[in-house]
Amino acid sequence: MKTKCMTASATIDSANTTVELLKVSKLLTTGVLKPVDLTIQAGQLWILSGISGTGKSQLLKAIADLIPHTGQAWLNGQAQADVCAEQWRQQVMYFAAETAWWLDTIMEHFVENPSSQQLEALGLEQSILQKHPDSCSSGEKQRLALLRGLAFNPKVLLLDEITANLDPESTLKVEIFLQHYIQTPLSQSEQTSSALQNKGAARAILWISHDVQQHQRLAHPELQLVLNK
Amino acid sequence: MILISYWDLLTLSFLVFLLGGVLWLNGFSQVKQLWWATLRMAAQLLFMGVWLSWVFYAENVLWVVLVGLVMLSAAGYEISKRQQYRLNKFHGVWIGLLALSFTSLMLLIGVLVFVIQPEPWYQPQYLIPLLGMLLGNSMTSIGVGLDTLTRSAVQLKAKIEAQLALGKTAKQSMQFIKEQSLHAAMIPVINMLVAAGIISLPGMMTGQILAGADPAEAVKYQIMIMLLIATSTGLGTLIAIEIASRRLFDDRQRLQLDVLSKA
Repeated sequence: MKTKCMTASATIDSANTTVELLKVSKLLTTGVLKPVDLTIQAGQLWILSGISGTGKSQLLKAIADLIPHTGQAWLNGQAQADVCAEQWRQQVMYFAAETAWWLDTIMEHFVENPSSQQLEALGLEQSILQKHPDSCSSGEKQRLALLRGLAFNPKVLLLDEITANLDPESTLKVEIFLQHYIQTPLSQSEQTSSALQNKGAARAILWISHDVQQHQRLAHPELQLVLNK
Repeated sequence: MILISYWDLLTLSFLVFLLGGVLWLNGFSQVKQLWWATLRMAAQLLFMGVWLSWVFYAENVLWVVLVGLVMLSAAGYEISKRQQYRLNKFHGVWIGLLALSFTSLMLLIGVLVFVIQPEPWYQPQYLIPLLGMLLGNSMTSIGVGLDTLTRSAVQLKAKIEAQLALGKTAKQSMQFIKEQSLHAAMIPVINMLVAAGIISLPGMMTGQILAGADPAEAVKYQIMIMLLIATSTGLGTLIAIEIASRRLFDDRQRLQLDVLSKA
């Protein structure tokens, strides 16, 4: 809890023009059996799979710097250790398989209310925002947690089986929504570089999923990472 | 004051002896514990009576300090003993000690020097009973507050980590648990304040009245001690919770529950 965030100097530099958005090198943490190397480029959607117990969730948590680990990670060329933890996590955001809510209404968890288009795109009613989290289904909460995080405009989404509780129709909605999210260029205020402006996409996803059909829908075989024993 | 003799006490203790028998006939199996606890209570208090009259008589600051230190460390130890999840190493006892000394001890010294002003200020007749009452109450509240904090952190781990994942600081992510812990620690104090004088006749006042003091004077002392208790329990709990919740995170604001071990 010592690190103080210097907002001005520690902000992750999006002006950097490297093609790699997220780079992970020799990352190792408890539960992960072999060091992981990974390079994710802007606009890419990676699928992470492998049988239970190979440390997939642990790997995502380590990339988000939520658990202690060895090895290094860079976002736009800036090392994880050089950025203060809360800023790193807002840019490289972990979405848990089981969502958690700590306040009395859904709405209170949002930094800004999701737009009606966003809710509609994910098949959610506007009125759900006034509900108590316990009275929403796990599938609804899963989609709400996604919007809750996206309000911070993260660059890399680390998704931990976030469609596991969803019906096929909602699953497709989430997939389309997220594919659109990573392809959308950064808003004007976030653009500090003409190079990025030309490229368009500035975000990426690393997605744990066990659904083979989902793998086929979402990612090229070369963007599918399998963790083995 | 009408004195009671040791024979009186011995006769009265026959009551508990009889009670044990009656309870045993009704299927109560911990009769031995009851008798043993009663014996212990009597022995501890008798010992304290001898010890205190000696310290009072000696009027040596070193003895007062020694008694104070023994009471303080016993309270610190009790706080850590009552935790379901303890902070590793010395931190459990240390946090309790720090919180107690910063509040109970400071307040006590302040009130002796500026309010009661006995001569000398550390006169054991005032210092020791007051310290005992402050420590006893603070100890309970700090214990409850810390226990709620660490237990909630273990049980509500997902809720803390979800907030960290959204880029909140460790402090922000612990806020909801901190509120719960303060609530749990302060409710008994508020209840005590509400009950005083209507439902309960506080012990200190009762003692003074039995010793022949004017009830109006005894009440003033009691109000003073209540104010001190409320302040020292509240501040002590706040300090303990603050230190403990810092220890639950590492320098990268990661929740590290392995600093806790189950008692």
